Formats: sequence, C-alpha cells, structure tokens
Amino acid sequence: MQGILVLHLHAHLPFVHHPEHEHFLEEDWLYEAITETYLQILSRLEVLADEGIPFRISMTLSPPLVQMLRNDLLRSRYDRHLDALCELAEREVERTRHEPAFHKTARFYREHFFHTRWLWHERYRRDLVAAMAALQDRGCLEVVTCGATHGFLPLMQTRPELVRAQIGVAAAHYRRHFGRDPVGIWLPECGYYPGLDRVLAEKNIRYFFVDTHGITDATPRTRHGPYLPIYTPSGVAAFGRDPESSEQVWSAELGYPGDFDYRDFYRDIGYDLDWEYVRPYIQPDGQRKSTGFKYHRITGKTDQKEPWDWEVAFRRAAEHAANFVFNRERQFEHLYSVLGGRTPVVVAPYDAELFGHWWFEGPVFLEHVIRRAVQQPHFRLGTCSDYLQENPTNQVATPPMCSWGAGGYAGVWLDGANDWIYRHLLHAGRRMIDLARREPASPLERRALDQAARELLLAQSSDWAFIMKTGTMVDYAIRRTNEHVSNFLRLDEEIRNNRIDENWLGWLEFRNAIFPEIDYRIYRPAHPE
Amino acid sequence: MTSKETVETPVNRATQPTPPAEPPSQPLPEGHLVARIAGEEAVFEAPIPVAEERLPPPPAPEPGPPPLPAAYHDDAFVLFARDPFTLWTYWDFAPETVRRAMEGLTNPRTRLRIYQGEHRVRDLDFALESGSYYVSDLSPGERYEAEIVFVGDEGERQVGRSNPVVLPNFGPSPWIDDRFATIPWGMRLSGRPGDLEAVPGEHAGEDRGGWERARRGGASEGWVGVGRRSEAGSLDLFRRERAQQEGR
Repeated sequence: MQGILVLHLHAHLPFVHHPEHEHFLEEDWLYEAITETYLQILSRLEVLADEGIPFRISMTLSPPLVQMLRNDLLRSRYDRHLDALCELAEREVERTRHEPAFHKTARFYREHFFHTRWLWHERYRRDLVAAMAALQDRGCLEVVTCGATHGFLPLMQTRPELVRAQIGVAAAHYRRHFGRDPVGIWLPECGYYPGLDRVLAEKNIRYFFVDTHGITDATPRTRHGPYLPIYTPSGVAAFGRDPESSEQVWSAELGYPGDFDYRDFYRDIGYDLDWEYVRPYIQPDGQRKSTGFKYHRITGKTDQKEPWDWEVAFRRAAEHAANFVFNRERQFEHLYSVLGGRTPVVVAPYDAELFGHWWFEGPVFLEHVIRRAVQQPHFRLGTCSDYLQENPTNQVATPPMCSWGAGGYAGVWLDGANDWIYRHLLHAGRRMIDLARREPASPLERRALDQAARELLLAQSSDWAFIMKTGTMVDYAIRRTNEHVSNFLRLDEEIRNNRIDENWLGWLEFRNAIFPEIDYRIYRPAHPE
Repeated sequence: MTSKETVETPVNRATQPTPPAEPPSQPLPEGHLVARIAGEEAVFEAPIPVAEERLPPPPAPEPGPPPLPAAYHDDAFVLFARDPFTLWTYWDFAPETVRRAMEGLTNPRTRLRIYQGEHRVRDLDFALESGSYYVSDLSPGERYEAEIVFVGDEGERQVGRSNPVVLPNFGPSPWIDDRFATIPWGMRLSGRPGDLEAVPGEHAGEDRGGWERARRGGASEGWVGVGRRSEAGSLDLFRRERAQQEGR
C-alpha cells in the first residue's frame, strides 16, 4: 500500500492590464513570474515527463492568470521585457569581467536568460497555457481552477448569486481554455464556508483544499485529521493542508528558502548600481526597480551580503529536496501505523510564485523532490483526484468557515485597513443581481451588462484587500477597487437610464478585457421565486 | 498604445458573417463561439484558442475614476463572521429610514444589540455615523444577529435587523458521529438532490443510486495531532440503526 503526496502549486496573479501606459510597473508581476517561476517549473516538469518519470502533481492556474498569459498585448510586452533581460545579461558579463566574485554569476545569468527566451519563443511558442494543457493531457499535471477573479468567498455568502458567479465564470473559463471540466478548485485564499460546497457540486467540481483546521475542526469531528479527505454534505471532497511539509518550505525561520547559501531576494542591481547604467532597465521615469540580476546570497542576518554561488546553491537545493523526501517517508511510515489500514494523503500546497520568484532555487528543489520521490517505496506523487478514484469511501463532515490566511479565518481580508471596501462591493453586487433580471433592449445594452459583470468581478479580487492589509502598493489596490466599483456604478446608471456611452464602454471592454465569453445572466438567482 | 486587441462583443459578433454549414469532419469554431453556435457540450470538442480576439482599440477616455460615494442609503445592514470570536457589521440606512425610526422619540440614542440565538448578549451605545462596528469576545459556533434601535424617553424603535451569521467553531467538534459515504468517481454531483448529512441512519444499506453509507467501527486510535477520540458517537449510531432494523 502506498500513500499519496499531493504537491500542489497555486499560481495566481490579479488581472493587471494597462494598455493606456507604455510601461506599467505592476505588469512586471506577470513578467517576473513568467521568467522566474512558470517557465522554470514548466520546463523542468516537461523534462521529467520526457524522461518517463512517473509523477503527477497539481497546479492552480487562476482565471486572471490564464487570461493574462493569453493576452496579446501582455505577451508582446513580455517579449520586450525578455529582450531587455538578455541585453542586460550581455552587458553584465562585460561589466563584471574584472570582478571574479561576480563574473561567474553574470555568465550564469546570460545563459539562464537566453535559455528562458528560447523556451518562451521556440519551445512554448509564447503560449504557456497550451503547454500546461499539453502536460495535463500527458497525465503528469492536473490543472485546477480557482474563483473567477480570486474573490474571497466567505465574505460574499450573504449573496449566493455573487458566489455562484465567481465559481460559474471560472468553470466556463476553464472549459474554454483546457477543453474539459475542472475536477478540482483552489478556493481563493482557501476560503470556505458551510454551504459553499453545494455551489461547487453544481459544477461537478469534485474537490477543494482547506487549511489544516478546516479538517480538524470539522463537524462532526473527523477521525484522521488532515491525512484523509472528508466529503462535505454535497459530496465534494475537502483536502486539508499538512502543517509539517508546509512549515518546511513556508516558514521564514525554519524553512529551506532561508538557507544562507540561497540567493538573496532583495539585493538587486536595479537598486545597487549606478543610475545611468541601469536606467534603460528600470522605469522610464527613473524609478528604480528589481531587474532580476542579483549577485548576493542571504549570508545571514547581516547587511554585509556575500557573493552568491549558483552551483553551491543548487547543490543545497538538492540536499534540501532529499531531506524533504526523507521526512515525508518517515511521515508516511508513521501515518500507516495510526490510520488503521486506510491510505494516507499528505497535501503540500504552495504558492507557485514561491518557487523561482521568491526562492530562486525553488524549481531546482522541486525537480529533485520529484526525482527522489519516485525512487522510494513509502508514497507516490499523485493528485487529489487520484486519491478519490482509488479511495471513494470517506467520512462525511462539514469544515467550518476557514482560510489559509494569517489567523485562519477572514481577518486578513476584513480588517481596519480594508473593511471599507465591502459596503461598495456588496452594494454593487446587489445592483448587479438586479441588473441580471433585465432582458437587453439592444446589442449595446447587452455589452454594457456583460461589462458591468466584469467590473464587479474585477473589483472583488481578494488581492486588493490583501495588499491594503499588508501595506505595500496600497495606492494601486485602492485605485483598482475604486476604479472597478466606479465603472460598475456608472454602467449601472447608464443602463437604467438608457444612456450608454458607447465610446467609454468600448474603452472599458478593451482595457478590462477579462472573460470575453461572460454572460451577465449568471447573476440571476439559481432558484427564482 | 501599441496593442490592437480588444474583447469580442455582441455588436462585433453580430457584424460577422454567419459561418456556413460545415461538414461533420470540419473542426468547430474556436472558443466560446462554440457554445453559442453549437451548444454547451460542443465546447469539449472545440480547439483551444491560442489568443484573444484582436480588434483596433477604441479611443481612451479621460483618466481617473470619480471618488466612490460615501454612502448609498440602500438600507444595508450586513453582519459578517470575521473569526470564531468576532463579528463585523456595517450599515447604510436611508435618511428616511432613520427619520421614521426617530419620529416621536425625545433624546434618542442609538444602540447596537447583538443576539445569540434568541438571547440579547450585547447592548452597545454607538454613533450611527460610524457606519461599522467590530464586536469581539463572542462564542464560536453560535448563531448571531444584530439589531440597531433608537432608545428615547418614550421607548425604543428598531432601525434595522441584520442577516444571521454563525461564527466558525474553534477546535475539534464535540459532536462525534462517524458517517462514511462512497462516491464513485464517475458519478456526477450536479443535480443530486439533498445532502449527505441528510441521509438518515435507518436507511443504511439501502440502494441510494451509488451513495452508499459505510460504517467503520474502531478503525483508528485517533488522528495525529488532535488526540484520541471516543467511539461513543459511532456506537450510538449503530444502536440507533439496529433498533430501526428491529422495528423498535
């Protein structure tokens, strides 16, 4: 008997698309994630698959991320971004020629970025979604969906239509891009509340993830904690996060990414070097920013950072992978002894962007984990759907309202820093539900109704509340919330007064171009009175 | 602006020529058009779109949204669960609603009342203009409602009552009732009536269209991390079922 280790990577970025600006700082979130995370993980998974290594992992590709990865303007801007990285890599090799401590790293970066550009253009033809779908079709990857715009669902539960729209739009979007129904979902921020599973069941979604206490605090009490899934009353399974494997990777103090040999995230030539030298690679207004060229290792709790040696760091990542697998082996051995013959599952979910973006060596670690995991007898790498297919009998219980945010509930997204948004979001939500009763009198009104639905969804993204709470880029999060609610309110008024400004609507459709397939009627009550 | 992309809309869809009837061997059109032309199921056979549709962008409007309204006066009074111990509520009453509630009251004061089930557990003086309130130190797993009233010399009058909210429970549930279900992977969850928890124990073993309840007695010493559990719940369930089977 083998247990199953579910490695799950949650890839999500909010929808950031600013065609009105030639360069927009927040669009860099996507470009950096493509360069440092998505391409690195994808290419490694593909190599493993080509070698015939029998593994399966799962991954969320949130609808906004999929939409951005398939947006032509963002892809062309990413081309430009990648060209600039390669150009700077050449200059860095030249600049460090007489600095042995850094020259080796500069040559590494040149190779790394040129290879990345080859992957993007030649290997994946600028379409990472198709590449992920292909890997799914090969059976190595299970792509799960997410809320349409990553809205935090427990704070929408007073209006079930809003929740149903987040799930329904996401499911339709998934079908459109992956050619099949989603079998699993990563609830935004792992935010669950009793009853949400019924909405998932309506879309035939078979499983979702919760934080550990979503299982341990379920009602009735669960027999085996997070090491066996439960069926919620609607039959959708909930899988709980394993605290042990999470801490080994997530913890700032105890986790692998804090090892002193790993690359330091914060030291970057965008901040360190002469302004004139880096000027072509930072913001056009002269604002410094990260370039992706980092030459120092974490070193310790000191400002005196030592040079980073990628070979040492990659060896360290392999050691950490071995340690991670060893610990899982012991964990499964222990679980076999206490689960009374049932097959254990250990769920290890991580933000995908941790691997590569925050933890540069993360993709190397991941590759080694997979290579080692397939060589031991105690567990295998699988997905939640694998587990349910092989183990269809599970305990029935209901998780409490919970999330994976700090504190475990809604406190991150409902706080003095961000609670002001909910009166606007719920007011707009009520108006949208009311608008959904309309039958459009003209094609123009239909367009306006669909765009109103998009604006509401975009305003609901949990990222804005999260950013307001954490205190970085707050102005942007406030602006986005204001903008989408404001757009919605104006559309609402124009639709009701039959005075739709077609030019302005066209601009919104162009700028906030998410979910072209949306149908505003998704906001109609499921069971009208 | 360098991009030439935009979303497809019903208007530009309407201006596109109707596609000619295709022989069965031809691929379906891309993306969401499939659902509109050939029905929802046909989406599964459709080719995956490579890029979003592109059309010349319309002109940009003036920048910057107007500030959001300070209030909507939509009589909203909404209660949220923040964590097992804390509620948050906001309200946005119409001036007319407030005026009506205050009518005839001298020296009216606003009170926020919290009900746990039927029992009033908090009675708080507050300023209606504050717009929102956090209520802490409540009991996990309990059902709450909030009420706002004006209290004057002549008595009191309700301004509004919120939606009910159940705070999440905290820690392992005291309720032990081991129920298991078998759900074949191929079975569709959508359209299935009722909840699993609604399946009464007395029908155990009866054919339920694939929803089979299984009983697992004494399978475990307890899960790792929470501690040992009692078997009492499952034993009670067995006794109840046996009593039903014996016609008692």
